[in-house]
Amino acid sequence: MDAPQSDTRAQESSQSVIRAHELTKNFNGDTGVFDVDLEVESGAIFGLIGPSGSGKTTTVRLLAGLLNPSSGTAEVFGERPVNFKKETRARLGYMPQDSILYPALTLRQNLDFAGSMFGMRRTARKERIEELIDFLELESAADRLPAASSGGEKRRIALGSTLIHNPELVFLDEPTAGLDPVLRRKLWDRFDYLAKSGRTLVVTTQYVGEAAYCDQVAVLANGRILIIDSPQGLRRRAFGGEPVDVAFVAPISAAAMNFLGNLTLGEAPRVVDDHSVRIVVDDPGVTVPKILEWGSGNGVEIERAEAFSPPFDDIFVELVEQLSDSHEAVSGSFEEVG
Amino acid sequence: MSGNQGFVANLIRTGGFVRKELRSVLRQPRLIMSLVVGPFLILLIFGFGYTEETDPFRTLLVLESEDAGLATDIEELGAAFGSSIDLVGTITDQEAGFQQLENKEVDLLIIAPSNALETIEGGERAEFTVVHEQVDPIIRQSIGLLATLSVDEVNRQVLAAIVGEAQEGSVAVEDPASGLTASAGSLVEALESDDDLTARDVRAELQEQLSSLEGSTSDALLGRVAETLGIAAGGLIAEVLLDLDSTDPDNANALESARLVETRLIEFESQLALAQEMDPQLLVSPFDVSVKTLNAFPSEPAVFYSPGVLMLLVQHLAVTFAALSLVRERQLGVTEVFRVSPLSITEYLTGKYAAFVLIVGTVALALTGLMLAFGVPFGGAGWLYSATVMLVLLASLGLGFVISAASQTDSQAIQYAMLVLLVTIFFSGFIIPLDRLLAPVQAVSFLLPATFGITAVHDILFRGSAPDPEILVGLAGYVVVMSVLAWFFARSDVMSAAD
Repeated sequence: MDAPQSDTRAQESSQSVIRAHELTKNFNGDTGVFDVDLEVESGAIFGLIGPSGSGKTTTVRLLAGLLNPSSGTAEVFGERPVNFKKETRARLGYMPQDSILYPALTLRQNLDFAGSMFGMRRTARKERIEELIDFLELESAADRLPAASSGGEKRRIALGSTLIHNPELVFLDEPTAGLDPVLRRKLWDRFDYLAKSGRTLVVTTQYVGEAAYCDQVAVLANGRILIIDSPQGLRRRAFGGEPVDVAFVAPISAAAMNFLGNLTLGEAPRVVDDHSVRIVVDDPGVTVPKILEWGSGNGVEIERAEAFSPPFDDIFVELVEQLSDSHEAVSGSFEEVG
Repeated sequence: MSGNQGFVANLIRTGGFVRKELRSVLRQPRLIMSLVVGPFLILLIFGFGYTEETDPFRTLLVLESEDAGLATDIEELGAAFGSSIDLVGTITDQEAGFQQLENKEVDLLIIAPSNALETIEGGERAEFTVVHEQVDPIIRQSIGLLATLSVDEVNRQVLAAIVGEAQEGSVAVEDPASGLTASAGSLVEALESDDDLTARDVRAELQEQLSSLEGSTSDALLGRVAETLGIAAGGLIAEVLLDLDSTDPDNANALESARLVETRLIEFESQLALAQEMDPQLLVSPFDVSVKTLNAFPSEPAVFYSPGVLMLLVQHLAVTFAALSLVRERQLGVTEVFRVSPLSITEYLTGKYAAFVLIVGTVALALTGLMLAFGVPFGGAGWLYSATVMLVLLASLGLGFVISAASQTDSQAIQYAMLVLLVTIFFSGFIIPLDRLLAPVQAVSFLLPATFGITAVHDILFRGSAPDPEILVGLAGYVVVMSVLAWFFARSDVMSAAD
C-alpha cells in the first residue's frame, strides 16, 4: 500500500482536519446529537464509542455532509460538510454501517465500480484493486458474488471500496460490527497501518475494547459526548491515575502497606488478597523501580511489581459510574470486548 | 485538476455506471430471456394468433306464420344477410326462439315484422327486431351494423322485385315509343316540305303521346342514374318536350329542333330497350365500390399492430429499468456513498441513460428485425425511424426516473410502471384510434411517449412519409422536460443532504 503523497496534506500535517463546535442535529426533540465539540488531528484514529443509539452514526453523517445540522458548526478540511466541493469529496472515504455492495457484481467488480466513481483510470483501478485484495486478504473471494461471500468478506470489500481512491480522511461507521474477534483485530491492524501512512480515520464502534486502538476516543451517550481523551487518559480518569499491582512472596506486612500508602494517589491501597495489593500512581515507570528498590533494601521479597492495564470494559464501567453523577444516566449497553 | 483531466474523470464515472448496469443485466440470464425472448414471443404469438375472421352469428328467423313469404326464401335470404350471419332456420314460436337464445343454441334472433303489409300501407315502416345477449360492446356495435346492413339488403331485394315488375310493365311502352320515333320522322319530313298544316298536326299528336309517357318507370330510373352521374338533368322525355316547343312551323329553327327531337327519341328508344334488358339488381344497386390506398398499408392486422407493440415494449422496458434502478440504489443505500464522492448528478444520470439506451436499444433493434421479417413494410427513411425510437426511449427513461422519485419501494415502482403500461394500451392509439378520444382525454395520451412513437412510426413505415413535425418536436420537448425533471428529482433524492 502506498502512503498518500500530497502537498496539501503535508501542510495540514498535525493540523486539525475536523473541527466541530456545538454541533447539533435534533430529529424530534430528544433524539439526535447535541452540542458536539470535537477536533480531529491529521493522521489520527479518532474513535466514537458509545452504546447503540448514542449518536455515533449521526455524528459521522453530519461530518460527512450527509445531514444538515440543526445548529452549531462543523468544518472538514476547512469546509462546511454540506457544501463540500467536488475536489474535497475526492479526499474523503465513507463506509456506512451496512456493507453496500451491488448484488449482481462480483466483489472485484464492486471495487472496480467504486474506483470509477472517483474517476480512476482503468490501469490505476486494476493495480489498486489488486493491492487492496492483497491488503484485505480477499484473493479467494474476489470473483464471488456478494451472496456467495461471508459477512467478513463483504465487510472487507466495503472497506476496500472506501479506500480504493486512497482517501486522506476516512469515515468508518461500525466497520467491525458483527465480525469475529480475529477479523476485528486484523481490521484494526489495517486501520493502524493506514493512520501510520498519514490518513485520518474517524471510526465508530460499540466494542469498548476497540478504544485501545484509537489515538483519541469520544465517549457518547444519549446524543452527547461525555469525554474525549486518549485511551491512557480515559484509564487515568477512571482510576485517578495509573494502576500498579504489587505481589509479595510473604503476606503483606504493615510496613509494606505504609510504604505503598505513601506512594498511592488518592485513596489507600486496595488489598487484592493476603499477598497482593493495587495502588494508583502518577507514573508507573518511576514508581515500580522505587518499590523494587524498597523491597531489596528492606529484605522484603517482591514477586512482581508492574503496571496494570485494566480491560476497557472496567474502564468504561468506572467512567460511567463517575459520570452518572454529573450527566443523565447512560442508557443502552456497550458490546463486550471481543 | 485540469479541464481535460476533469472531462476524462467525467467519462470514467459515466462509463462506470454503463459497465455496472450492463454487468447487472448480463448477470441475470432470466432477465435477458424475459427482455429479449419475451417480446419476441409476444410478437410471434400475436402475429400468428390474430385473425380478423370471426365465426358467423348463428341466427334464427322468427316469423309470424309458416306461410310468410320470407319462409319460402330462407336460402336466398340467408345469402342476402351475408357471411356474417348463419341463418340456421325459421321458427314461429317466439318464446321458443328466446329460449334457444338464452341456452346459447343461437346467437341472434331476427324477428320479422307482423302485419308488414298493413303497416306499410298505413304509411309506416315495418320493423325487423334483432335480439342478442352479447355483453362485449364491440360485438354489440357490430351486431347493430350488421342488422342495419341486413335490413338494407332485404329492402333492396324488395325494391329489385318491384323494378322487375316495372320492367315487365315497360314492354307496353315499346310500341308507343316506336310510334314516337316515326311521328318525329314525319314532323321532320313535313317541315322539310313546308307542309305547315301536317307539321302542326303531327307536332300536337307527338306532344300528347310524350306527355302520357313522361314519368314512366324506365324514364325515371334511367334519368336518375344519368343525373347522379352528372350527364343529364331530369328525365329524357321532359327534355324532348322542351325541344318540341321549338318545332312550331312559325319558328325559324323549327326544322333544326324537329331533327333534335327525332335524335332524342331514337336515343330514348334505345335506352328503353336497355332498361328492359337490365338486371333489376343492377338498376336497384347501380353503383359498386372498390377501395384503394396510396400507402403500402398492411393487409394483415398483426402487421399493422407490430410497430405499436414495439413502441409499447420500448416504453415499458425503459420506464421499468429507470424506475427500478434509482429506487433499488436508494434502498441499497449506495446513494449515501455517492454523496460522499465527487460524482455529479449529471454524470450519474448520463451513465444511467447511456446504459439503458444500450440495453433497450438492442432489444428494439432485434424487435425491428423481427417486425420486418413479419412483412411490416418500411416505406420511410431509416434515420427517421431510428430517431423516433431513440426519442421514445429517452423520453421513457426520463418518465421512469420521475416515477422512481415518487416510489418508496421497488414494488411500488413496478406498480407505477404497470399503470403506465395500462394507460398506454388504452390511450396511446395502440388499439383505439386517438380521434375516438375526447380532446381533454387526448391530453392524457400525449403524456405517454408511446403515443408520439406510434403516430410517427405509422407515418414512416406505412405511409412512407416523414411524421408531422409537431410529433417529433413534441417528442423532443418531452425528452427535454423529463430529463430536466429527472435531474431535479435525482439531485434532491440522491445528492442532497437530508434534513
